[in-house]
Amino acid sequence: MSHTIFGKDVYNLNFGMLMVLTAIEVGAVAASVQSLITTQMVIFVLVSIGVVKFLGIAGVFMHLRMQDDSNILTLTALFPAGFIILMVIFIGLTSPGSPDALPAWCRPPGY
Amino acid sequence: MSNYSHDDDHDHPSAWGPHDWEHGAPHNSWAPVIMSLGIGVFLFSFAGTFVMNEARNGTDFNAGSLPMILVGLAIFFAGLIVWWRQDFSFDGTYEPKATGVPFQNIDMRKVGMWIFLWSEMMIFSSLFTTYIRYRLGIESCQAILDNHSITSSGLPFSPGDVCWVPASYFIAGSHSESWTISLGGIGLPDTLVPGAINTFALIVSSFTVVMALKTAHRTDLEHDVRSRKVRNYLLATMALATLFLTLKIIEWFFGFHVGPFDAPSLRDDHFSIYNEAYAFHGAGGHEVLEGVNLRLSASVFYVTTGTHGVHVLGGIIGLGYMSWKAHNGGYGPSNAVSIEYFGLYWHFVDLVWVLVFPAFYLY
Repeated sequence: MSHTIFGKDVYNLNFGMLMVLTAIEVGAVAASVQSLITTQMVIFVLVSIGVVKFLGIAGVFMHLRMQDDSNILTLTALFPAGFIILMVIFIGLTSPGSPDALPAWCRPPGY
Repeated sequence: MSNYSHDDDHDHPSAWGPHDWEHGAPHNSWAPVIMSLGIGVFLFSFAGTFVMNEARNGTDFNAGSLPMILVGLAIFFAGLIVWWRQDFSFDGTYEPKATGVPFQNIDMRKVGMWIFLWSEMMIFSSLFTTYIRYRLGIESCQAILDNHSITSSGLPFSPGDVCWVPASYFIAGSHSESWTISLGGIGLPDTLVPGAINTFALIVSSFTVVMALKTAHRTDLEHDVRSRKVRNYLLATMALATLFLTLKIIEWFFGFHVGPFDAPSLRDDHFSIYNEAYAFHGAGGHEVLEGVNLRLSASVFYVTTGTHGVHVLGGIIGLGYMSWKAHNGGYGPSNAVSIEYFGLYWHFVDLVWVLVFPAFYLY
């Protein structure tokens, strides 16, 4: 449990980073609402910070880094990740009305 | 901690239990298959219990699905009994190791927790996929106003038509009327305050779980002192989780009216799965789309954030038990893996919120 970066406890550092990044997220949206920054800019900030926070929690708090079994658990996580990518591409990015075009046998009754 | 040798060549454990743990952990249980089947039958039947009735703008109760719901529950509990028969004979004196590729020699419970979390990833991914699909596939109400820049009477939009209204319109948009917090000229709408507090609460709670585990591993503390500290960290986590759910309920149903804060609830704002005639105001507040159907926008929001809330509730129940166990001195340097594995679940709940918060509350 005792991992350090630059002499500081990695869990404390990660916690501090998550707090600061969340404050930036909220601040960016508040600035966007008052038209101080553009919508594109706030989306960029939210996605970038979301990725960093995701990695911070998964890598440090959930021990997907820094432990003996980290690599195998991380690699195995790619298994559901593959399905998720397929789901996003073939469902998330299709038209909402596309199920209407499905043949009757693969639609629930009444649809 | 003692280690038992795996005498697999001579020991043939029953797939139905009870199990002789002297020969290592069983790897041939039918319990997961039976329980999965039961849950599947239950969920398919449950999905047909409440049927949308368009005519009266509500739901009808379909009693015909009840028998199969009971069958599903019966199968599930049968699987649970098989699981208990195998596990009750275990005295917990050693941590069973996984033997299957690629998890050899990793704690079996840890592998189990990760596989559970991967299945959870699929659940939340399907919800996010639904969100992406509708968010990208349905024209936003604001875009309809922006593209046509004329009053509602001249718009190619009929009352009852569906256009997308993100929850952030009510929570973090210019729709909000009260702005109490202001830092450096940047104001924060009051409607966003509960969600922002919740985000910080979950991050802090992730850290308190880490502190509980670190404290449980400390050997420089007396047993009583260590147990008290571990219990307090777990109780702090539970308090933060309870705060999260409380603010969620306030945000949905009651509104946040504390001190100078004055934020209406989402229900007061008519952001409801039943609302098919909402008057959507444009960013300027002047133009209006009459009769916007909010059902789809609201359903995606409530189902996703509600599913996350159920996971927080499950965490609270687990934390209650663990706090009680810590109070009785149940955790120590050689016996703290339960906190670690619960921590994995709790960090996952935090991880999901990291995605839910910007996607649903901010954008």
